[in-house]
Amino acid sequence: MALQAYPDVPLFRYPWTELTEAQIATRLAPAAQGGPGSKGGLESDLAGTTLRIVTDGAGTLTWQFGQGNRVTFDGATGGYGALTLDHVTLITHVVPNSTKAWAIAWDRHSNLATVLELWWGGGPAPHTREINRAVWHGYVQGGDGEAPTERHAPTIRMEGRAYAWTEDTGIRTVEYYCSYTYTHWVELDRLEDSRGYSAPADYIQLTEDLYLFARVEAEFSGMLQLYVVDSNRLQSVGVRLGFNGADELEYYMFRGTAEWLGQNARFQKLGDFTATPIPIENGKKGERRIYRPVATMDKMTPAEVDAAVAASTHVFDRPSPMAGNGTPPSGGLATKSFSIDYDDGPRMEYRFVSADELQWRKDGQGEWHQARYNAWEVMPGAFIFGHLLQGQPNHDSHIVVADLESGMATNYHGFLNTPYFANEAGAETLFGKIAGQGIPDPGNRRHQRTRDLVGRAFTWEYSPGLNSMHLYSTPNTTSWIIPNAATGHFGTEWSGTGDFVKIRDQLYFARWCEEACNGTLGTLLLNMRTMHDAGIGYHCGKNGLSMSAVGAPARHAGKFDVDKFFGPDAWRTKP
Amino acid sequence: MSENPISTDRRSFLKTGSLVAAPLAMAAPVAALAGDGSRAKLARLEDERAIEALQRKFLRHLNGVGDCSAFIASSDAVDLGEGLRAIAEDMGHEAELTLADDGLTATARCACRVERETEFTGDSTIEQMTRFQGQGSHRHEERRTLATGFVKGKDEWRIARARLA
Repeated sequence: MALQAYPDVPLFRYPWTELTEAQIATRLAPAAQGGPGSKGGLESDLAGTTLRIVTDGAGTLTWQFGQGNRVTFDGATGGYGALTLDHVTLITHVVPNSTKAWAIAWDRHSNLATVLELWWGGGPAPHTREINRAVWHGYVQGGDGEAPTERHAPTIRMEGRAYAWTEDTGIRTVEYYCSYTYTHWVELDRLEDSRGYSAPADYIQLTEDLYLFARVEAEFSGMLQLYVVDSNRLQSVGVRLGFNGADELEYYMFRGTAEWLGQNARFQKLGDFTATPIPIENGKKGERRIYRPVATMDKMTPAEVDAAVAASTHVFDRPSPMAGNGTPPSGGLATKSFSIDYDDGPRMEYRFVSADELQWRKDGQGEWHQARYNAWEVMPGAFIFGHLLQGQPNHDSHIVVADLESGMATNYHGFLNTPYFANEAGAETLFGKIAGQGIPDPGNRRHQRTRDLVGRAFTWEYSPGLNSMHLYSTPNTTSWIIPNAATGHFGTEWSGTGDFVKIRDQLYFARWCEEACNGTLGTLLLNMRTMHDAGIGYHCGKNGLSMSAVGAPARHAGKFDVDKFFGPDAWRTKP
Repeated sequence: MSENPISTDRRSFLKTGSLVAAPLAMAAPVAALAGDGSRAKLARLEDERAIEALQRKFLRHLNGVGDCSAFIASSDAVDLGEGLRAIAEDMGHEAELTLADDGLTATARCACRVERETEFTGDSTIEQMTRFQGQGSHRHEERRTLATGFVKGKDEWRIARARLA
């Protein structure tokens, strides 16, 4: 694949180059001398200033600013850039002849400062192209006065917010601050498939209304997007630093303006504002918990999948931790018979023998196949049921919502043997109509994709201690965020392809694919009137193939008005 | 995790509960019963007290060493679910004991607070991410009813069945 600065495939599919430290040093050299670029003018009023910042963990750091954009740090002179937002100045430079850089947020009113030490290579990031950062809080030393005891600090206050940013470069980004350690962002211009992605982030409170935010696009480009946010004026100053998909250095400062998109509910105990990241025992400098799912997922060949499926297949025959708070399966389909004609798909005939056994036949041909299934009646007459199509080469599953009152059905057809990892579930959405005794003929009507869920977030309480929040961030993205069950702090986040279908008013069929991340196809039928769902997970790994129940009570965390950012075909997904 | 530590220094469920067969509050002194020749009543009272002691011992063992083999009737007699870490009678509810007419079996029901610990060892994404965040297990409290069956052996009472409803 030819290198692309901003790939036209999902970022989790792109073959990011393993840049070496030497390659990085070579690419950084001009930037170290020239400083960052910018669309607008950068500031030069620091000339003649010596900024001595006493930090709590990195000692005293000294920058001497010369004429123009010259700065001397640790005996090396190069170029810097600075932009001020109200009374906070953001300064950045790359250290000459090194793979190191700095970003400084200096509050000129309080003289408090937060310094981000930045470097490539040597860890803790496992990929050299991924920028490392260590965050140091301190103050600017000056005069004979007493050193301040206050410090900038990590904050929970940004959790639940979302903004639509427009940089002075013209680049637009929707950024959801779903957690106090992660972020979820959607590139509206540089990437074209309307997907959101998740990445570790720092949230530092500078004042009541000014915050420092830093996202490292870990597992992808490894780029840093750092900015100071004025949450009242909805403005920012920031810096982007790192290597894009074409391995080109991007190093520029920007000013941004935002549209406030809303504030989702937070779930910490009232009065709890703590935001200390989960400690890492014997952690290296800058080390934090960065979720790297592709490293830990089972990665199997088609032959390994066939063997694993033959050795162990479980269909609704054991308890599911994803459904500890689920509703019991329904026997409401037992003894019914009907067929489902999918547009551009198969015709499936069903005989529901009992509450958990069915017979199916495809396209009116061949033998009837026996299969175990489970069904849930989530609204009267609206069922979700699922079964495997045993014997199919891709170990297919059908997870179907059948509305017996409207005669319409939708199928999240799951399959294995995707081109990426054989055990990773792929999915397609099939729309169809049901034919059977007493079931109305919907004619040409079908369930429709919906934007009703886009921008919404729900918490899911699956089992004691196992909770998550879904954020349906774009028309084709489901993101999930995991809280600390004891404190309600939302932490690690990841995301994958989503699809959303309206079944009835306040009844939605949603799915998510955990691509390059455990490989599960997750589905749910959400009843917003009861705030409960029933769903089905389809997963293959070294432990075999399974279909299992998903079910949890929901809480509506909020809805962001983001529909306008996505075009009519934004639900379409690329491989 | 529960904010209220579960006390194992508990009163007898008989002393706090209603006694279906013979409420303890109404029981006459043993000496008086012996005096009127009611050996059956005396035996019944002794059985009730033995069961009471056994139930106390059972809960003490569940909260302590866990090994109840010395006083259960069979290896599958006790099934209180996975991850039990503590169990305590809920003093806000009355317990009840029913002794069979033949005096050879008895059943008891008492409300309990149960603390369980769930280990997140599965391969679901949510378990993996929860573990990743350093939360590999979770303690939670449930309010349940402990249903216990007792059987009288040659020399002593044993627990024939214990389940949480």
